[in-house]
Amino acid sequence: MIYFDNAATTLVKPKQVYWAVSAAMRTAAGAGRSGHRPAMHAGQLIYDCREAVARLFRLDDCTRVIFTYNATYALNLAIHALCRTDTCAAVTGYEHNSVVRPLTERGTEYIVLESPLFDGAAMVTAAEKAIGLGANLFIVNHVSNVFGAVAPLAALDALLTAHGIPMILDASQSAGILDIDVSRYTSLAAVCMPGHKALYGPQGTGVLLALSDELRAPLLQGGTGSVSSDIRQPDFLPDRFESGTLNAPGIAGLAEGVRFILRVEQDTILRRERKLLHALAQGLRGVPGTEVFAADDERAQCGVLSFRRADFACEGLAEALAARGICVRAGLHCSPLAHRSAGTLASGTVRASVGYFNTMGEVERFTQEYADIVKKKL
Amino acid sequence: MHKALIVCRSQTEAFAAYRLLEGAGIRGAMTRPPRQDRTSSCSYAVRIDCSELDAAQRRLQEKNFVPCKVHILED
Repeated sequence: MIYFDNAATTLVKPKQVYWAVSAAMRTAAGAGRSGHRPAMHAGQLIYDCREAVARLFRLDDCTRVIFTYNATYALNLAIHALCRTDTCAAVTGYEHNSVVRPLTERGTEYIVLESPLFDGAAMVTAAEKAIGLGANLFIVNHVSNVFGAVAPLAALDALLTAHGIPMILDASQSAGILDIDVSRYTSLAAVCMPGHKALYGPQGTGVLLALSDELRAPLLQGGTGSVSSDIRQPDFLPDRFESGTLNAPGIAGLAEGVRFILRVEQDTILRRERKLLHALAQGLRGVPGTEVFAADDERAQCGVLSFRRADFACEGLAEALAARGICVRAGLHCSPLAHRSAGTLASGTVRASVGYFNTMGEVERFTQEYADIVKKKL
Repeated sequence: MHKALIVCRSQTEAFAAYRLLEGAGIRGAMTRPPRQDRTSSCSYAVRIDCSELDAAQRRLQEKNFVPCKVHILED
């Protein structure tokens, strides 16, 4: 099997992740509830993970690392906490439904930063215009889950910092690959990410870096194992945002995923993935009739590559590839806004997304199989 | 030997205190403090020897860490 669906979730994890989850299933009880050894052990595993995540993102205070179930929960938490009645949000043209749907549900007005694919400068120009129109909260998809397009984070941060405007960063496709040093980006109010993609943790884990004290209202209230005599939700971190029993086995696995990244180093992961992606794009371009959405400048893209054909529906292509043991995703990828911006809304795309554990041999075989599928259909 | 409890609001805070003290060479144990010693119900504490209490308090102060309270336990 060739697994090129890492943008959905990583299937191959470092072996330490599997061991940690398995061990925690047997040894970690309810963290923050009881005083016996298995409960304290669970608490320690979770605290260790907070510290590891804080180290990866250069965050001084590890209590600002909030564990969630996935990136969608983290984004909802940040959006609902930061949006007010007078909020005018600005979002890039490549946002996922986990951003657009909560804004829509709230009835929050938002401006789309219209910009061509892979054109960071145009996005910054659009951001300037949006500020002029009154945008007072930005939500930015760091790397598009459809096209792998990298948003110009440094330039946007400089602009927003100059205007005192906060940013929520959707790091779903960038966490673990692109270096995000939160101490450098002063406009960041929240960074949201899944644990189960390029952080190599299990499904059921996610992280919110709660960088702004303006993040106050939690999505859930309930038992936190702290100040229980008070019927009000605790106002201190991380308890304010973490009600209910945490997923200790999942978080134990996530800690090992993060430690793996710290050992291998993100730059190494990024270079490896970019090399694979470049080869994939070249291979696809070699099959006539394939429209490949690849950036001329490799720095403008990472991890994800979309392509389509005029003569073959994307779902059919994905199914044909799956029949040959090749895992990709087809359709709109929960990001209709991204497709609207790129002009692919009617057709959708086939998306191949590589990970650290993919190989050049897999890229070569993928290209051969794809060429064969096209040849046999036509 | 008398023990001191550095009582915190949550397990996370208690772990933070534990790690800060460990970094200063002060050995502690995580524990749930007895109810009558808590500032409010359901808290966690780091238990240390009383002989290390001054050093522990200095360390926590240096790191701007404010526990709920410090309680002395008699064995």
